[in-house]
Amino acid sequence: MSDVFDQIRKDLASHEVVLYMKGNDKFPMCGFSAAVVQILKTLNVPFKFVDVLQDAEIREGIKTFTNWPTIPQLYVKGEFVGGCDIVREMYQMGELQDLLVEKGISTSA
Amino acid sequence: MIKARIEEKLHTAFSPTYLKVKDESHLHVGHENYRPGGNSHFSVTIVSSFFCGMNRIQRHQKVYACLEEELKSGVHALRLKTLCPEEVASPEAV
Repeated sequence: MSDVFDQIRKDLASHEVVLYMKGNDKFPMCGFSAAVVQILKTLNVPFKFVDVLQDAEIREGIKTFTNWPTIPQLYVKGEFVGGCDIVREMYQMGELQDLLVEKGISTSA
Repeated sequence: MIKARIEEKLHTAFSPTYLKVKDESHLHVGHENYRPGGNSHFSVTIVSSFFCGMNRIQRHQKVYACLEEELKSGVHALRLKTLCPEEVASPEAV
């Protein structure tokens, strides 16, 4: 598991916004992943996606890493923001936009 | 019945003032984890003083921990709305 955690830490350290999701940003394979991709695209936020369907170790590893049993998972500057429900709720209340500004990430919003 | 078990576990763990569990599996027909007969996708709306003072991540983690067994044995997704009673203006607002 430590190799997987190293890989996760490396991805989180080298990208400001990371989304662990099912499928890719063009073709999400799950409605919950698609919803988060849509929000990030609406806000014009560049993000690195990790398709957990391509790697069973990452798929299980990220759940343990975050203590969060479901995908998608959104990280900003290495910090876990939430899954689909939380991201959607934060977006609707404008809190996600505030968080991104606070973290120094440019958005179109 | 998984829905009843989820309700019972949440009642025991959080003594909610409001709880609604819905089987939404039918909304996910064709999804990789959809199974005929439902019981794979649920939505949970829960109001409990247990959540007061916790952030959203902590609240969801508590619910996930409570339902760990179900999540490992076939429940694929939980749509969660977790509220502290003070955050609810009226019961209709949930």
